[in-house]
Amino acid sequence: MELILPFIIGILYSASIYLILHRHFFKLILGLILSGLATNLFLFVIGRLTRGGSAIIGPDENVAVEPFADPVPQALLLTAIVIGFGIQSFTIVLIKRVYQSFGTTDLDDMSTTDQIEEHH
Amino acid sequence: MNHLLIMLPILIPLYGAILSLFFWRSVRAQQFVGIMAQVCLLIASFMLLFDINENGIRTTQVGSWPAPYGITLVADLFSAMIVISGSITGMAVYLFSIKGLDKARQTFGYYPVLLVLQLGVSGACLTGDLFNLFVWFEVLLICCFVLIALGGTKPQLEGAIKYVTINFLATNFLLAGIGVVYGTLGSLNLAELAVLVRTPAAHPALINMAGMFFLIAFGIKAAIFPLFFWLPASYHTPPIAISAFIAGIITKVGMYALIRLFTLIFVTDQDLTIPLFTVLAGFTMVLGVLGAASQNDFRKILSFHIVSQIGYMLMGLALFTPLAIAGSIYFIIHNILVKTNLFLISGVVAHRHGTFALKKLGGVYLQQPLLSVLFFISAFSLAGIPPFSGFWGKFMLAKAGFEIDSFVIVLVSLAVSLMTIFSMTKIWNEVFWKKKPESDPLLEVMTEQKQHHNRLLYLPVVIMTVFILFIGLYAEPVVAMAQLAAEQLLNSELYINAVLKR
Amino acid sequence: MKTIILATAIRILIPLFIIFSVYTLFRGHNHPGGGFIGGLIGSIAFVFHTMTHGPQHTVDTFLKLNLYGYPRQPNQSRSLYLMRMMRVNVWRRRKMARHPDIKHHMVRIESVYIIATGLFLAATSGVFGLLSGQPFMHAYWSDFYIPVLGKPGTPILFDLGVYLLVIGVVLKITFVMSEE
Repeated sequence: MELILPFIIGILYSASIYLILHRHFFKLILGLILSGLATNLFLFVIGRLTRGGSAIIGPDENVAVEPFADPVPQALLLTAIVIGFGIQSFTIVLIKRVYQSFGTTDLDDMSTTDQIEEHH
Repeated sequence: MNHLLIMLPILIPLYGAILSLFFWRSVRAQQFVGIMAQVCLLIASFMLLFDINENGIRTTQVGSWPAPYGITLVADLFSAMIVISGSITGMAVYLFSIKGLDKARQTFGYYPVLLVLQLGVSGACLTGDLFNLFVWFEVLLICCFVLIALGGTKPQLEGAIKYVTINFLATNFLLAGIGVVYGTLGSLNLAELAVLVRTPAAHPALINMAGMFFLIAFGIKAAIFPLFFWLPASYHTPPIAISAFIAGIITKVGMYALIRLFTLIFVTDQDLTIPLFTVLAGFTMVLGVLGAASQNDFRKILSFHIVSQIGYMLMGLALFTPLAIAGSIYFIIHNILVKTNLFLISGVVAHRHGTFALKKLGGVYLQQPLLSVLFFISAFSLAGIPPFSGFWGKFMLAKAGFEIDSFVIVLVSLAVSLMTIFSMTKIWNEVFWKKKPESDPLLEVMTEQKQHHNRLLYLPVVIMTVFILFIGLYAEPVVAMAQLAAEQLLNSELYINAVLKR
Repeated sequence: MKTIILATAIRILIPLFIIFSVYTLFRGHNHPGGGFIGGLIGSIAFVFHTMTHGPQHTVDTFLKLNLYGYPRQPNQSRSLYLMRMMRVNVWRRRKMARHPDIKHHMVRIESVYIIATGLFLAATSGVFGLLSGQPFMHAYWSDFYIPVLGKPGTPILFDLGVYLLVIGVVLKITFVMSEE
C-alpha cells in the first residue's frame, strides 16, 4: 500500500494542476477538489499506515499496545476534510454566481480586475 | 487570571459574533454589539501586552492537557503586538462601516463575519501549535472569502475567484508541510518541534522541504514576490470598509507566521534560507512599487504598495539580526495602521466624490483640508519621512543591513522608498492638489446627498492617525518593545521553556 | 423530487434518524460518536424531508413555532403580561388555540439562530473552566450518574453545541441550495 499510494497522490496532483490550468470553470472546481483530495491522501500516508490496529486502548490495558494506528494524522485529516469541504462548497456557489452574472465559462474572460483602468 | 488574559482576545470576538448572529434581524443591535466587542478587545489586548511585558511569555493549555499533547496558546510580545494592532484596525474599520458601507451589505452578515475574521487573527497570533495555526488561518481566510464576495458585484466576484483559488492551493501546501513535519518529527507543538529540530536525529533535508512548503504557503498568504499576483487583482474590488481591514491585516498575519516559524523551527539551514529571503525581499519590494507606479486608481496603488511593504518585513527576516527582526516587527505594526488608514482615507474621498480614479478626482485639498492633512501624515509615514513612523522601521532595517554588510538589499530598500514617495506624491497631486476636472452632473447630485455622513467617517481616520503619530513621534517605547520581542523570538529557549515548563 | 416510496419511508426514517443521532451524541463520551457525527446524522433526516417535500414544507413542519398571544391590556403591568404570555405558550396549549381572544402567530426559526445557539453552548462550555481559574475548556464532571445520558459534565455541553451547530449549518446549506 505504501508503495502504491504515493503514485496515486502524484497522479492526483498532476491531474489537479492540469485541470486548474484549463480555462473552463468546471475544470477549475474539479482541479481544486482533486488537489484537496491529493493533499488529504498525502497527510494520510505520511502519518504512517498501520493495518488492523486501532488507536483505542482496551479495557484491561493502561497504554495502547503495538501495533496501533496513530490517531493524530486521522484527526488532522478529519479536520482538513471538513475545512476543505467548506471551501469547496463555497467555491462551487461562487463559481455558479460568476457564471450567472458573467454568462461565460471561460476563465480568460476574467481579466478586468488585473487591467489598468482608464475609466472611460 | 493568567489563562483568562490569553483567552480574551479569542473569546471577545467569538462572543461578539455569536451575539451578532442572535441579532441577525437588527443591524443597529449588531453595530452596538460590534463596537462594544471592539472596545473590549482593545482593552483586553493592551492588558495582555502589559502583562507579558512585566512577566514574560504567557502560556495556557486548553482543556488542561499538558504541553506537547494538548492545544497550547502562547502569547509573547510579538503576537500581543499584532493582536493590538489588529484590534485598533478593527475598531477603526467598524466605526467607518457604520456610515461607509451600504445597508444591503450590513444586513447580510458583515458584522458577524468581520468579528469571526478578528477571531481568526487573534487565534493565529496566539496559537502555539502548527495544526491550530492552519485551522485559524482557515477561519480567517473563509471570512475573507465571504467578505470579498459579499454583495456580489461583478468585480468582487472576479476578485473572489482569484483569491479563493490561489488561497485554496496555499492551504494545500500548508497541509502538506504540516504532514511532512509530523511525519519526520512526530509532533505538532511548536515548542517541542523547536527542540526536536535541534537534535541530531532530525532529517535536515526533510525539514528543509517542509520549510519550503511553509514558505510557499505563507508566501502566498503574505504576497511575497513570485506569488503576489492575486493581491492587486482582488483587494481593490470590495467596498472600502471590507478591503481596508483585509488589506491592513491579513498579509501581515501571513508574515507573522513566516517570522514565527523561521525564527523558531526552520533555523537549522540558514545558508539556504537567508540568501533566498534576501532575493525574495528585494524582488517583492521592487516589483510591488513598480506595479504601483503604473496604476492610476487610488485603491490599486495602495494595493501594490502592500506588496512592496511586505518586502521590507521579509528583509528583516533575511538579515536575521536582533535589530533587523525588531525592525520587521516595528514595520509590521506601523504598516497595519498606516495601510488601513490610507484605505479608509481613499474611502472617505470616494464617498464624497464617487470615484477612485485619479483622473476624475481633484481639488480635495480645497474642500476637505483636514482630510488632506491626515492623508499627508499617513502617506509620509508610508514613505518613511523622518518624524513619522515608517522612518523608524526603515532606519532599523537599514542600520541592521549596514551592520552585517549586506549593502545591496539596503540600497534596494532605500531606492524603493524613493519610489514610494513618488507614488504618494502622485496621489497627492492628482487627488488633493490639482484642480477638480469637469465631472458629469449626475455624480454631483449623488454626492451632494452624502455630505452629512462625512463627519462620522472622519472619526476612524482621526483615531488611526493619532496612533500613527504616536508610534512615530514617540517611537522610543514601541521600538524598545519591538527589540524585546525580537530578543524573545531569537532566543527560542524562552519560548520552549515557557511552553514545556522546564 | 416527489417519489411515493421515499415519502412513505421518510415518516418512519425521520424519527429513527433523530433518535439515532441523539444516541450517537451521548455515546460520544467514551465511545466513537459525538456531536459532529450526531449532528450530521440528525440533519440527514431534514435533508431527506427537503428532498421529498421541498424546503418550504420542511420549514413549516419542523422549524415553525406556534405562539399564542393577545394584546396587552392598558392597566396590565409589563412583567405580569410577559409571565402570562409565557404561561399561555407553555401550559394547556390546545385549549388556548380554541380560545376566541387569543391570536395565533407562526414564528420561523431561522437556521442562523440554531447556529448561534450551538456556538454559544460550545463556547460557554469552555468558559466554566476560566471562571474558576483553570484553563479554557477545563472539564468539570458531576458525581452522580443519569441512566441514559451518563455523567453530566461541561464536555457534553460542548458536544451539544457542536450538534446544534452542524444541524444549523447543514440546514442552511440545504435550504440555500434547494431554493435556487
